[in-house]
Amino acid sequence: MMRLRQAANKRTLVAVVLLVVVGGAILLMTQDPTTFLLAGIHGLTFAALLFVVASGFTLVFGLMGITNLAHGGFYLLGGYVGYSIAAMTGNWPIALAAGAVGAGVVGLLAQQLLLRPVQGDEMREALVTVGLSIVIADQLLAFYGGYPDNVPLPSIVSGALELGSRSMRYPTFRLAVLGIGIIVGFVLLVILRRTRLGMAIRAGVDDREMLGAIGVNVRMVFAVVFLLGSSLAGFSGVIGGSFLSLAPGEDSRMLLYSLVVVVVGGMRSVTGAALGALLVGLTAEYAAVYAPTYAALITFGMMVVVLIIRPSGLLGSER
Amino acid sequence: MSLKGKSFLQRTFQPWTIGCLVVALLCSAPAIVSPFVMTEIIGQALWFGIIVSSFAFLSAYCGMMSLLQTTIAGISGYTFGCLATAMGWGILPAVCIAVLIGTISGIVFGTVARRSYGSYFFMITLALAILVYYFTFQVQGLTGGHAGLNGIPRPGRLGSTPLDLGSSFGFYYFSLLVAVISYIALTYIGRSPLGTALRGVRDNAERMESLGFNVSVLRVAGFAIAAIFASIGGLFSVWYNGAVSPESINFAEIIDVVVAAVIGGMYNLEGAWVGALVVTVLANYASEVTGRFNTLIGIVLIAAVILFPDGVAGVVARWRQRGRPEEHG
Amino acid sequence: MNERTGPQQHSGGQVLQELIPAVRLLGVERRFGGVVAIAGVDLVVQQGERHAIIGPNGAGKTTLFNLLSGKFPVTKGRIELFGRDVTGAALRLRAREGVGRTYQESRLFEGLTVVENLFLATLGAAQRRFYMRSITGGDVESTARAHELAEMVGLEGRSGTKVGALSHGERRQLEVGMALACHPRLVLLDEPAAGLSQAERQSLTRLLKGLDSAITMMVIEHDMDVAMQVADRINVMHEGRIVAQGSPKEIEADAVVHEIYLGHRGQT
Repeated sequence: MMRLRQAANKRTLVAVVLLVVVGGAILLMTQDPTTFLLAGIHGLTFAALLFVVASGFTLVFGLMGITNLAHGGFYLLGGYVGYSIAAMTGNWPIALAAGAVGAGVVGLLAQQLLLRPVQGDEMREALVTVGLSIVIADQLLAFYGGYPDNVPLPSIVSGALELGSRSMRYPTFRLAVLGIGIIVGFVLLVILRRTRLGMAIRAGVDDREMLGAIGVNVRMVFAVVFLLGSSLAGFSGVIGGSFLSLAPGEDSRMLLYSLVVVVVGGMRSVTGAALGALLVGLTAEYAAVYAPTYAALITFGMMVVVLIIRPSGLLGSER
Repeated sequence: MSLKGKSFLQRTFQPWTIGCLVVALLCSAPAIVSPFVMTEIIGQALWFGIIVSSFAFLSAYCGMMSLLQTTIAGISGYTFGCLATAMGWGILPAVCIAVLIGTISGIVFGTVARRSYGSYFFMITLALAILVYYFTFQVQGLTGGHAGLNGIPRPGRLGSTPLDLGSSFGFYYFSLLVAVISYIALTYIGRSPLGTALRGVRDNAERMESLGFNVSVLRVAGFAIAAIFASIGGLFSVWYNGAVSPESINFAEIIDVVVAAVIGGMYNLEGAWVGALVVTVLANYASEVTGRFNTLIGIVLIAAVILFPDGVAGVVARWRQRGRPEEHG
Repeated sequence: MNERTGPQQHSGGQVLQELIPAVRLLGVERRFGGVVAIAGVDLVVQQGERHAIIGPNGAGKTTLFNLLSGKFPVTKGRIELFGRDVTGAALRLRAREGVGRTYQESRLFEGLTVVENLFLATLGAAQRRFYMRSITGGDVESTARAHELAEMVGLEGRSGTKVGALSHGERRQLEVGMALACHPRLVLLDEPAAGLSQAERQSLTRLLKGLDSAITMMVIEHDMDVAMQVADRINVMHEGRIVAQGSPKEIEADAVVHEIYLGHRGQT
């Protein structure tokens, strides 16, 4: 009896929240369609970035159980590496690759040297990543200073496109980011569904202990996944550094967004990360436009609300 | 928990003597060390340790690693600052309300996070802590936004007695007294049936549920107790600094508490003050060794977690146990 | 109306008393996704009876206990404990109905001592608002009871030892103590003899046989000796159903049971 009542309460709460959100959206849209649409596209493109960042976090957490609090550090590291390489070569795609590789290598080293000794103890793993994030952030501060930097864009994408018939112009790069996000999502899904590695990852997310029992080289898979996760962080760092900025504090900001995305979308799946990124990206942008004083509150408040409804995220399994 | 009177005395005789020795040492510290060391190092470690002990209590007795202790301390500090400066309240009433508000925040946070465990719990507390951090910028009327609150008064003369809690000696002994009381209180709670129940929840929450306990209520209760002490520590922080700002509860400050707890030992209370001392020493003298204090803290944290998971207190406990065949609760 | 009997019916001067059974399972089924763990169980256990549940691995014995103690709900059917329909009740409430239980896997509080474990078990059953009292003073009654329980299960010498340092047999003994702490009306013991030495089995059997006759007991066991000695009635489970029921002698002679255990003979 109690169980049914609890479930019904949750459903009513969800219904109420949805009603409020949809109602509010319709109201705002009819008031000022252009602003609403613009904010919407801003939200989508931001969501694309968030997805790329959070997918790395989710892979590592889902498979290895590690809450990688240095994820934001890898983002910033990749971004700065990309910045330096772009300054040296003037070539954005190479900078992008360099950022991914740079963060990936550092991540792999950190995993092998620092995380393996404490493997299995979730709390100690989290604490090691905390220490790592502090060191990375401080070293980047020492190396690059406190002023915000920007990764310069190639001229093809640095302009703005005309959208629709209202002669609304929108930065080309942000649309490119949307495209990149979709491509990354597609690639990840292909890896997960069509490759042996992906199969191992999906099996491991489901039941970590069984993975070794069925003959998978767990050490190798863990290393590859962590490498992938930190590379994704570095990759997104270069992208984010191109249309947002690179500065001390961006690492914490992106880490927190990743956390919210992963909690809202479900902590263990890439699809969850996509859903979460969409929700968080749109919420963050709409809040920034319509209620800037309370933007942070709304975004993180969403995380709290989701956790009250489902302690393991919207798509996560109830464990 | 033994009813056998003699062995209880026997068992606690050793720790009590050590405790008394330490307190005696601390009482005489002002005569031994320089005023700087007394106030900046030992004094600061004493009240900072109160905040760390609230973290240690949650982690050791309740199995909850909460990143919200600094935040709660900050909320208490902000409340006091707001009441004592802008609203001109007296010190004592402001103290009471500050601790009350801090504890209530703790209850609210605990209620939000009560059904989460392990990494999920850790993440929620982190998110809530950062939420509050951003919030302090935005509620400018109350918090003074970016600049925070300044000119926060310290407690001064105690009534008509010549005791001046605001002087450096007075403040030192005040910190010492409250730290000792906090330690005794938390230890007592830990050994009480409530403490046993909290440890039961720590070890096996589902079993506690099936034994008939309301696990949610217990977890929130643990959180509330820790919040009381975090609030008290927060008061000392604003008295010491005379100010509070969002940067008092930023990520770095949150981590300082965690580092202190890890170094001192996350599974017992004494370690809290040991860790607080180490962090305070590092904070003051590290700049002579290296320009990059944060990097040092990060490395120390990583090393402590990998090499000494039980912290200093754990090392000491294991060393003391070398000769004994059995472990006693 | 007292707890052991139902309403008394008067019919022409005759008084009929109906005894409320301790446990009644009606058409109970439990599915996990596509797997049928319990395929339809009807069982009545009268108060004070000692039932053993035996059967090969995977027969659903522990699942049955989980349904009884409320760890998860039934997919179909009804469960009544002492006349009360508890089919939808949460874990915590079943404990308050007076159900004590041991578990196959260890479910003890590793970081606490033997006495502290028993103390919590006692306290949980006391249902008192103990929080405020406990800060001001120790709970003497419960502590005394905890020591009493430790003695009952033979662990008084190890009362101050942390669970992590106990031997396997001692842990099993503690488990039984935990189940008894709440003065249960119904005790569910899940393989209490597993991993015990010969001597330990004997003292366990003595302990179980010596329990208050008012306590209803259900035991899952692989050890036939323990099951046969302790139980009045044996239920044999196979593939989620009860396939045979009877006194120890009847079950020993039952052909169906022999068939189920064919090939299992020689294993404990």
